[in-house]
Amino acid sequence: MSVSVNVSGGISLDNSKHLRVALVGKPNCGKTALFNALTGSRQKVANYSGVTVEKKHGYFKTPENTLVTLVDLPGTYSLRSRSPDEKVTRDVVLNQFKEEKPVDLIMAVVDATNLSGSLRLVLELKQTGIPLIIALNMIDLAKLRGFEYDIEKLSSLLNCPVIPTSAVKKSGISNLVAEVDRHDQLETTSNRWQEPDRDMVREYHKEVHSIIRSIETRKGMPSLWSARLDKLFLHPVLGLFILLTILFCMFQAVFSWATIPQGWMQDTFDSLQAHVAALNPNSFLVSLVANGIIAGVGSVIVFLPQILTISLFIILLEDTGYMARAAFLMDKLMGGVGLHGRAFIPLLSSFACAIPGIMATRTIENRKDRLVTILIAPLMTCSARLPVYTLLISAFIPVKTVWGFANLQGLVMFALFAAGIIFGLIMAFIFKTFFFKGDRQPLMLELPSYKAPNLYNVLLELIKPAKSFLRRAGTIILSVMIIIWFLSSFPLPPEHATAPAIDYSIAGIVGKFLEPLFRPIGFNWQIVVALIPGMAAREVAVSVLATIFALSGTNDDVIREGLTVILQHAWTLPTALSLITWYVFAPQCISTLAVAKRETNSWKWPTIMFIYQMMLAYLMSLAVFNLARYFIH
Amino acid sequence: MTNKLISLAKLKVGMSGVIEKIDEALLPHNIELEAGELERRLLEIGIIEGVHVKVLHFGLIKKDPIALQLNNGEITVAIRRNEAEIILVNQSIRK
Ligand SMILES: Nc1nc2c(ncn2[C@@H]2O[C@H](COP(=O)(O)OP(=O)(O)OP(=O)(O)O)[C@@H](O)[C@H]2O)c(=O)[nH]1
Ligand SMILES: [Mg+2]
Repeated sequence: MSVSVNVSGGISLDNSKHLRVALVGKPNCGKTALFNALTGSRQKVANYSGVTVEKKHGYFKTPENTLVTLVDLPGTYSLRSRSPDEKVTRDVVLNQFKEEKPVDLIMAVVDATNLSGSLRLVLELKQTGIPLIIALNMIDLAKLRGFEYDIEKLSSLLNCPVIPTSAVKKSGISNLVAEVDRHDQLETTSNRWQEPDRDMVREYHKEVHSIIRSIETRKGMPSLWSARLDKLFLHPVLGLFILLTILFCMFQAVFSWATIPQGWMQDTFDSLQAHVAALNPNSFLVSLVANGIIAGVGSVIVFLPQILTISLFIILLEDTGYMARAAFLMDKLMGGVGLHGRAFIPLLSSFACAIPGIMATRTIENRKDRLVTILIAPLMTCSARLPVYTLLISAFIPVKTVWGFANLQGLVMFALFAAGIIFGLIMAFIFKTFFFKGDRQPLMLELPSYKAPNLYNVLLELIKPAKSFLRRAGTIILSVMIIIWFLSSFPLPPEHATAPAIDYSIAGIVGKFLEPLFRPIGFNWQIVVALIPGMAAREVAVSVLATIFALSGTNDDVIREGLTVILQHAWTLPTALSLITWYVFAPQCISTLAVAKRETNSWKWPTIMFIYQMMLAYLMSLAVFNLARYFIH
Repeated sequence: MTNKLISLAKLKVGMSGVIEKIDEALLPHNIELEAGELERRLLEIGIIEGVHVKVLHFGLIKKDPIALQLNNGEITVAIRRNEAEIILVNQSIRK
C-alpha cells in the first residue's frame, strides 16, 4: 500500500500539508490495528481492553500529498476520563497539552459488532466540534455474524463520513485515507463538550438507540463460539482448573521444550570459549574475550528459548481473549486482598516484565488500588529472573518425574511463580489494610469475544522480547561483563600467590568486604559480587557467576564442566535455595524503580518499593536458609 | 407472569430479563465513589434501562462475580454481586 511513508521522506517535500489526526474509540475496537495498518507501525495489538495506555505517533502520506501525523490513543468509554490512560485520550482530544498542536481531525473507530457500545462516544466527540471521520471497523466480523447496516443513512444521521474497514484484513484502509484528503469539506465548530452526568449518558443512549433502530437492516447473531468456550473457561470449578493447568503447562514447557535448544546453544558457546581460550592462555585479551565476553554474555543468551516460551504463552493468552477470563476467575481472590480482578491483567503482564505491567496499571481508576498494584508488580516473576531460576534449579533440583507426569524442575519453577503471586497478594493485603484504607472498588470488565490467534501478530509480538533480550545482552550485559572482568582480574595477584587470582582483585575484595552482611542468609562473596551488577539487569547475575568461576578455576574446569556442575560443587543446597528465594523478592531492577517513579510522579513510592522488597527478601532468605540447614543436617 | 421487578443479583444462571431501573440508592452499603458515579459507570459499559440482560456465569466463591450477556449477545460484561443489587430487571418481557 502506498500510504506508509517515513517522516524524513515526507517532511522534506515542499508544499505538502500537515495534519494531526487522532484515533479515538472504545477499548478493544481495533484502533491500534488500524494505526498499524495506516502507518506501517508495529504497536501492540491484543484482544482485551486496555492494551494501549499511552499515546503513540505514526506518520503516513495521503495520495494528495498531505503528511498526516496519526496519534493512537488509549480506548475510552467517555471523554470524561476516569483512569490515567483515559485521561491521555481526553487531554489530546480537548487539547490540554499546551505544547502540542491541537487535533485537526478525529478518526472515530466504531466496533461494527457493538454499535450501541461505540456510538455514544461518537456523539460525545461530535460535541467537541472537531471534524470527524468514522471507521466502521471489524466489518468482516459483523458480516460474518449477519449484521447489516445502512451506511449512507448512518453517515447522514451523524453528519460525517462513515467508512467500513477491517484493520486485520486490511480492507477499507485506502477509502479511509481518501476521506482524510477530503477533510476540508467537513466543518469545524466550537467546542460544546460537557462532562456527561448519569442523566446525560441516558440521553445519549436514547439517541444511539434510535439511530441504530433506523440503520440496522439486519440484526446479527452473538458469537456462538465465545458462548461455548465460556461455558468451559468460565465454569466455576472447571474454569479455575483450566487456568491453573495453563499456568502449570507454561512452566513445564520451560523445562521440557526450552531446554533442548538451550543445550545446543550452550554447547556452541562452550566450544567457542574453549577454542578462544586455547589460542593463548597467557594473554589478557584472550582472557577478556573467553572468560569475560563469551562466558558472561553467552551464559545469558542461552536462556533465550526460556524467555520465548513464557512470552509465547502470555501472547497467546492476550491474543485469544483469555486474559479477561483470567481476570474474571481471579476477581474473588483479588477482592479478598482489596483489589479487583482487572488488576490481575497488569500482574499477569508482569510475568513478561514488570515495566509494561506497571504501565498497564494506568487502566485502574482508583489511585490507591493503582499504587498498591504498582508496588506488588515487581513480585511477579518476570522473564529476566528465568536465567537465574533455571540455572539454580537445574543445578540443585534433580530431574525427576513426580506424580507420574510432572517434571520436578518445572514444578519448582511453578512454585516460585506461585510464591511471587501469593506474597504479592499478601503484601497487597497489608498495604490495603494499613496504608490505603478504603472500600472495594466496583468491577466492570468487558469480556471480548474469542479470536483465533493471528500468526503474524504472534510472531511480531514474540520478536519484540527476543530483540530486547538480545539487545540487553549485547549492550548492558556486555559492558557490565567487561567491567566485571576488569574488576575481577586486577589488581594482579602477588607473585607466588596460592589462592586464585580473583581473590586479590577489586571484585574479590569488595565481595569479601560485604560478605558478612549476607552470611546469615548463606551467601558467599561470589554471590555478593553477582548481586551488585544484577541491579542493572537481573540476568547479569548469571553472567557474573560464569565469569567469576571462569576466572577462579586453576585449570579450565569451568569450560569443561559448565556452570551448573561448578555450582553443584561450590554451593550447598541451603545457599542455593536462599539465593532463589532472594530472587523471588529482592528489588533487582533499576528500570522498574525508574518506571515506578515516572508513573507515580514521586520518589516516595519507588523508595517504599525498594525498602519493603529488600526487607522481605532478607527475611525470607534468612528463613529459607536456616530451615534448609535444619532439615538437611 | 407477574410484572414484579427483581434485583439482578437474585437471578440464577440462564435467567434473563429487561433492565427496568438502575438506582444506586438501592446499594446496601457505602462505597467510596461520588454520587452518581456507580450508576454512570454501569451505564457507560452498556448496562442501561431497556437493555436485555441474561445471566451467563457465576464465579466459584459466593457466586461472585457475575458474567452478563447484554443485548442478546452483543457484548459480555462482568460485574460484582454487590453492584448487581442496584439493577432491577423485569423478567416478564420476552425479547
Ligand atoms: N476480525 C477483526 N478483528 C480486528 C479488527 N480490528 C482489530 N481486530 C482485533 O481486535 C482486537 C483489538 O484490537 P486493538 O487494535 O488492540 O484494539 P484497540 O482499540 O487498540 O484496543 P485498546 O488499545 O485496548 O483500547 C485484536 O485482537 C485485533 O486483532 C478487524 O477489523 N477485524
Ligand atoms: Mg490499542
